[in-house]
Amino acid sequence: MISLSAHGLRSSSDPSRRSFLITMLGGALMLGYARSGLAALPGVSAGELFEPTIWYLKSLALEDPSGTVPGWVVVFADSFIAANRAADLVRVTWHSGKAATVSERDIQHRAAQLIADANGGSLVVDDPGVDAILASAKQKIERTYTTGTVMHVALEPVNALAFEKDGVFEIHTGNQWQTLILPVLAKALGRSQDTIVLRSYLLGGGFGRRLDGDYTVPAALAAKAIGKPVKMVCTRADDMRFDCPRSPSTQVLRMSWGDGGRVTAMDHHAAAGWPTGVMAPFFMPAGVNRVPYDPFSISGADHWYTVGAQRVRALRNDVAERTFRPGWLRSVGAGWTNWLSRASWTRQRTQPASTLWSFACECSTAPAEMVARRRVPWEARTARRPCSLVWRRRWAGTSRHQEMWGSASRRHSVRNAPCPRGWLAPLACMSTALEAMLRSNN
Amino acid sequence: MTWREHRRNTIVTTFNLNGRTVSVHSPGDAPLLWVIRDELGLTGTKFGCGIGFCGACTVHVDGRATRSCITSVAAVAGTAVTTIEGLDDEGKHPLQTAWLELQVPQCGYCQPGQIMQAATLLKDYPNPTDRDINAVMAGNVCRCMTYIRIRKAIKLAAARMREGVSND
Repeated sequence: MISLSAHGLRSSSDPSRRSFLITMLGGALMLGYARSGLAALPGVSAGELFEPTIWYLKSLALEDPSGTVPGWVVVFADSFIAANRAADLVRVTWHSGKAATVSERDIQHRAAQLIADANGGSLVVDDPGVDAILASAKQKIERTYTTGTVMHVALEPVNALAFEKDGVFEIHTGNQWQTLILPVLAKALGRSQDTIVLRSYLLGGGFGRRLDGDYTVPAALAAKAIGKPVKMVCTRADDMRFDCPRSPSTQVLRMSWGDGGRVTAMDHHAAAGWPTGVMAPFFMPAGVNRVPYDPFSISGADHWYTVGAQRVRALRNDVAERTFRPGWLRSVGAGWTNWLSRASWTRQRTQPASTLWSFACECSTAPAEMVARRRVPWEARTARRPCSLVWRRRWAGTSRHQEMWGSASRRHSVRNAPCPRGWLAPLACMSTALEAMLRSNN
Repeated sequence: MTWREHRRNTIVTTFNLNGRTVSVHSPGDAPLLWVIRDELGLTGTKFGCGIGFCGACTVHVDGRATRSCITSVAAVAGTAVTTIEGLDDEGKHPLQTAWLELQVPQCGYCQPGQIMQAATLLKDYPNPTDRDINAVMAGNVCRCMTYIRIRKAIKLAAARMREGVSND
């Protein structure tokens, strides 16, 4: 069972060489080193601590030059049990900022304001004539879709082991983007990147949570502070408190139909907190209007269906980003954009007798006989939306997105996939989802 | 006397772990999970939620599946505790081989708990139906949604155990 038990993070078989800590959020500085219980903690006596064999060692507020874990207070002990219980006894007073009173509704309200302003945001797709077609269409709809905050809740709470040995700082943890956190660790520890080594372990469920390696910073700072190996283990509660959740989103969709029920225009606006904007702004390509956008907060809106003139606008919700640190959540793309496309099409299909599947096919340019057999050649599926400027630019391989990912877009990646069976996978998934929604509607 | 020496000389809880008698010094109300992981050094048993909800910490106490994160070490004094490391000496329990054969895990974190729970399931239901499996395994959460493969693996292991097929 080696493969199933490889998550252990032990720094040493000798317990005396191990230190553990539990994190707490706060601004107060509490220092003390008590070899005889909790006597050194103000207001807490050793007698209050359950068993005389649990020993509290030390707590301190972390000073983080990188600003990743502001206000954290950590508790050290020689076991998880001791640290966890001692942490419950530490009283921390901190001053909360304005974000503490921001509600989900406030974030959605701000998103609606941003969408109402026609001049803001980044135009990811901007075909000419969208407004004119929508204005003159006899049949059209406008819908607003919202999604709430979504947390990762990976089964393994975030954790990290850190220690310094022979001038090299080692961080042992599961992480999905080492190069993102390495410069942060260097700044936090005040040392060069080449003296920090990240040892990657299995993720224990990533789902995008471990793209942000913020949890390595307190472990490293604590190890530096006490000069011993430190394993930081977040409890489930702390794991959720310090999560980088997927942002709430608000989307407005406008569609119009022409003769024969064909879609003639699609206008899609999406506002949310942008994880890439917060954590990796260098990773944002420019839209048609040269305004950078977070591809992971809009991908899916620039879908592969032929919907006439199309506009896709991505907007950055500043209130969301001031309130919490947005994160990428499975599968790094924004799930809400695909959800909107499918959900809106479920409800707005124009012909009652038609199935959702057939409606989706109507919007594709695949040969009818192939669609009927649900075997659509990838070449046919990708040879659409010739009017998209973004598509052309990406196809030419000039985008920042391509330079960093090695492929222009998800569509490009799939198209070039050498595996002959791979091309059908996205279509099969879509088909399953569409049919499930159709059954539930009927 | 140092605090560590003091601790070593105080509370002792004795139980059988994977066929060996062990004595631990953690306080009696310490969760069995952390005693197993921290004091005894067996990290196959996982910490997931800490409230007995997710099943990642499942071990056997006297042959029954038990959530070790909410079981105090004092409660297992004198009992036989089995962790994933002790399910089979060579890691070839029919469930383990079926798990590997069907490539059940995705992230893998919940799987030791899933296997330990499934092992008691097969004791009670040698030929489990989907309904049996769903009912008994409902308390073991898989964030990666590998439930379909878990069910297949349990049925495969059950079939082999009924046939007396040895994986040795």
